[in-house]
Amino acid sequence: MTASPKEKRRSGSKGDLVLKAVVGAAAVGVIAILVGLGVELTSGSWLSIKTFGLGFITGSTWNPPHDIFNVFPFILGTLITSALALLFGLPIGLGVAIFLSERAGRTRGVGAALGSLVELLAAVPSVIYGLWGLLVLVPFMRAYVEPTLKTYLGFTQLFNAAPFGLDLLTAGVVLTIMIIPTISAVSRDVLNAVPNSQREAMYSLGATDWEVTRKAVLPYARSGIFGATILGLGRAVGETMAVTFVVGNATAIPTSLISPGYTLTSLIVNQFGTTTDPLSDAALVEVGLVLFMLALVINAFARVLVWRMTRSTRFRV
Amino acid sequence: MTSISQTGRRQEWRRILDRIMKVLVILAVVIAVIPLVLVVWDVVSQGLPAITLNFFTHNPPSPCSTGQIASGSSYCWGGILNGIEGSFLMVGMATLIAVPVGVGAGIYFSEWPESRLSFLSSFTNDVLAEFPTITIGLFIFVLIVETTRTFSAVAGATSLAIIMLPIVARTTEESLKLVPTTLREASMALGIPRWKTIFRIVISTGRSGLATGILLAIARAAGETAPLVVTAGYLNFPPTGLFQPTASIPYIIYNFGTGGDYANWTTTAWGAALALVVFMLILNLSVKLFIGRRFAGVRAEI
Amino acid sequence: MNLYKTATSGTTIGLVVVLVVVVIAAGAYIALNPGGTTTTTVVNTTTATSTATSTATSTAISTATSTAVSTATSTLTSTFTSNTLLPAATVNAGGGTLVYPLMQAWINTYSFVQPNIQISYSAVGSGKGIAGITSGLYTIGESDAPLSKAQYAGLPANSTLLTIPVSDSGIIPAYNLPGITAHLNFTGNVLAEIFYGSITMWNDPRIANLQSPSVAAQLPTHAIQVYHRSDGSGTMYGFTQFLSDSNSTWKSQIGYSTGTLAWPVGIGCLHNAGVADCIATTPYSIGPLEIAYEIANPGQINYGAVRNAFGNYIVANLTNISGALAAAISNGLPSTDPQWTSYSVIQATFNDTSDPYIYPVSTFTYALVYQDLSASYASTSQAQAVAALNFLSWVVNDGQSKSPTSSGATLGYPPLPLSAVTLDNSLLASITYNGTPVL
Repeated sequence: MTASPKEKRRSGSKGDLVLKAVVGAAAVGVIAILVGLGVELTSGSWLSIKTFGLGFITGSTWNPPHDIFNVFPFILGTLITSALALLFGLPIGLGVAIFLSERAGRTRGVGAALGSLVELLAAVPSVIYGLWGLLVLVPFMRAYVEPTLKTYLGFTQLFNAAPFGLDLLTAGVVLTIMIIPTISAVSRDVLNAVPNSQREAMYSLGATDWEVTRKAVLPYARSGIFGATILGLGRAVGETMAVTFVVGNATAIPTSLISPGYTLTSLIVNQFGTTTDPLSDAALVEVGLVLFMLALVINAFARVLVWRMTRSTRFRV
Repeated sequence: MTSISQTGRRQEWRRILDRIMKVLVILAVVIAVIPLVLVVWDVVSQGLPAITLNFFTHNPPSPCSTGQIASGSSYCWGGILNGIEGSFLMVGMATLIAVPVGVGAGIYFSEWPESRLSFLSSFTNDVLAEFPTITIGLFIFVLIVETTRTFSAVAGATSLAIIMLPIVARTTEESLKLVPTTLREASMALGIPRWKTIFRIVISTGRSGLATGILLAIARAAGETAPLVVTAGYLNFPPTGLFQPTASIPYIIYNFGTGGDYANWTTTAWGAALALVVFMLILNLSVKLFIGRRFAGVRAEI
Repeated sequence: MNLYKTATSGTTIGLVVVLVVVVIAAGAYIALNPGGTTTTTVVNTTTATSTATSTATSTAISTATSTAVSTATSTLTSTFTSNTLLPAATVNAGGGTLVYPLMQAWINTYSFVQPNIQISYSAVGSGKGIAGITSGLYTIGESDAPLSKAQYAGLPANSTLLTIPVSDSGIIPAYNLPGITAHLNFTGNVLAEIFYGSITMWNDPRIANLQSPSVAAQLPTHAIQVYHRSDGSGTMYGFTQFLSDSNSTWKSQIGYSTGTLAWPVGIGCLHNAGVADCIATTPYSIGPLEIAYEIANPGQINYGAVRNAFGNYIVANLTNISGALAAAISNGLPSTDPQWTSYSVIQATFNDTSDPYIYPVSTFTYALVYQDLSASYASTSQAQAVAALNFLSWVVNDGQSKSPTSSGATLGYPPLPLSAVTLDNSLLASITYNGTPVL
């Protein structure tokens, strides 16, 4: 080496600066995109914000020919379908995560194959779930599931409507399928992050597998699993194509789980082509803004929870 | 905690409970897997009739009434050539944009994690990853489509790049963070400047993770529909230019799948769905096969 | 320390590199070699003279042809004979979903006539079709309804937009009544009351009184399940405009639109196919359907007759829909932009008491093109202008014929009456680029 240490350090630090600047710019770019999204959505919906104010999210009439735009039914639809997805998806996703994490040692065999299959659920694009939902699931729900629900549970308002297949329940089922991989993957990471010492301590006291899971692993991973759930919720809230095919697209407040509804995301896709004046354009962008804020809050909350759980285990020596 | 001194019956109950829960857990896995099997089965059974060599070399057909289809006229069958070329074009361009920026951001997150920018940006990155893609599409619609006054492959590619970016950044960050710090320290102790350390040692050690991230991001972009509806438009022919409307396979599925009035259109949609699913499965399986379980868990939410 | 197996890493890297290179190379190749694999032979188009045909079979008046109709369609010959190969261009068009399948059939067939020209049609909805023309996104906009006053006000200053009918739409009341094969009779008022929710039972006297006694007796004592479109469409626009003309409550409460409507009762199904499927699987249901669906899938669904202004109950078919529109044109179509804002084809036929055999729920679907395509707001190059007008001229003349590959009729879209074709040709001839007519 003929260069003096000082020269080497200088050329090194110049390279360092350049690299730091370049990748730092990339990091700034990520923030710029999100900020840009927020700015664009706000400015595009300004007319609608001025016209409707808070009534936009509390009112329940969506009547374009008469220029009335309120989105409460769609917020309700989004919340109901997402809640259904979580109701079904959490037990299943958690079960899968427990199955996969407690068999962490094995990489072959039926267990690993099943685990891979669950992950492949995430590989199928949502538009295909939508197509399948429309052409296969909806007739099935209409012919078998919903009439049964109506017969036996129809005394509650929840199932008291003409069973049609294109409704909130079917949308909830499709969303469940789509968030299972999210919940199970994050939960599995969270469960894997629980120190083995916890498990070993329980085993040494003679606990069964289930007791170890229930009393040592799950409580430790509680906030992380909660975070996984919220992530699943974020996914369900933001899902567009699969829901649009099956949710029924009705603009009135849904009266039961098996009546058609609308979600914020499918509203945007379906109404995109029909806006005919600046106010309806702005109203649609404001729906996007509501979605933006909802997604922001949910995802931020989720990330905080998952971080607390898994951040500490990131670095290895 | 349960105490050790148990009556015989309580021991029995604990064992039974353990059995029950094990069965329930396996049931959960089976329930989770059933939809996948069903969907793949339906896609294969409905789409296979459409798949011929011509399916990949022709554009989608014109709509045909039941009478025309029954007569077997060749006018009524077609394929997804425009979608294949359009998807390749837009996903290719999106990869060119998203990979440098995403890898760069990931490097920053992993190598300078203490800075405020890193914290903020990593957080933002995670939020962006789960974002409703239709709003990203609307963003690009206003930004690019309205200013250039045309639907375009460029607009479509940009919206796909925004969707790919968080995936690449996140997997880059995580795979680089898994590279042991001792490697970095050893390299710096030898006097190698930090930037060389990062490139020569850290990245090359974590390269399989990076590769996974890129593959999974490509898989995600190839399956996105909603943003392309409002940015790339549609053309029933192969792409004619970067600033012209461009077809894509997911758009064909969406458009022709809901145009149920015409049976040959529905068949085209199923065939396109089959082609897309096969592509996705190959991509995901090769990620698993070549990279193994370590990164099987770090995959894209589509 | 935990290093990775370099063996697997090598394979992976190789795989990724190959994949990314292939993807990018393919993309670059495609970008640099546009045009794909369309054929290069130019087909000389000749058009057959069309003859009026009817595909409906029913006891109500449907096979008779009015004089207006026979002159409209019996001597339709093509005035379009150009077969010079035009230079390459991609034309942006977009608009309503109603005419999308027909438009796609036209585009595909036209690509054999002019292989260097690709037309892109985005079925985004009439609203966005108009917005696209206003912003210069489309060279050819398409809408199922003429522009409203507000939309005209939004157009660029000093621009003239031409409204050019390119196809027809007819909306039928389809229903599913087990055991009843006859065509039920409806009036606009009764339909409005059904869809408003005032009439809830099939054997309501208001429905029964319109039928012949034998049919009235068959009407079941059962609730009516109402279906409608969940998405906006020209079909619903035409139908609800007809309801608005027939019933003042409907007009004031619900109105009509190419976009979403606040339907008081009923369940929404997606697209014509969805509505047809909904009706087919639900006994005692009713819903509005585009005639195109019925013709493309004959015999799958029953539909009723609607009373026209003359007093006859007409079962829709291609002939009497074209006839209705010919009759509407004979009263004169608006010639300037502002006149279109208060003109309604449905209303013209609704009030037309002179023609006994027209189907009253008929309307046009329109192409929208600026008169001066060289203006900056039109965002159209010369090659695109030539291509666009060549295509429209072909559509209006050849596209209406009965040849299976380009015929709207096979797909169930009634052809333009001859008077509309003549009008369109004169409109197209008036479009200029840099002062000279394009055609």
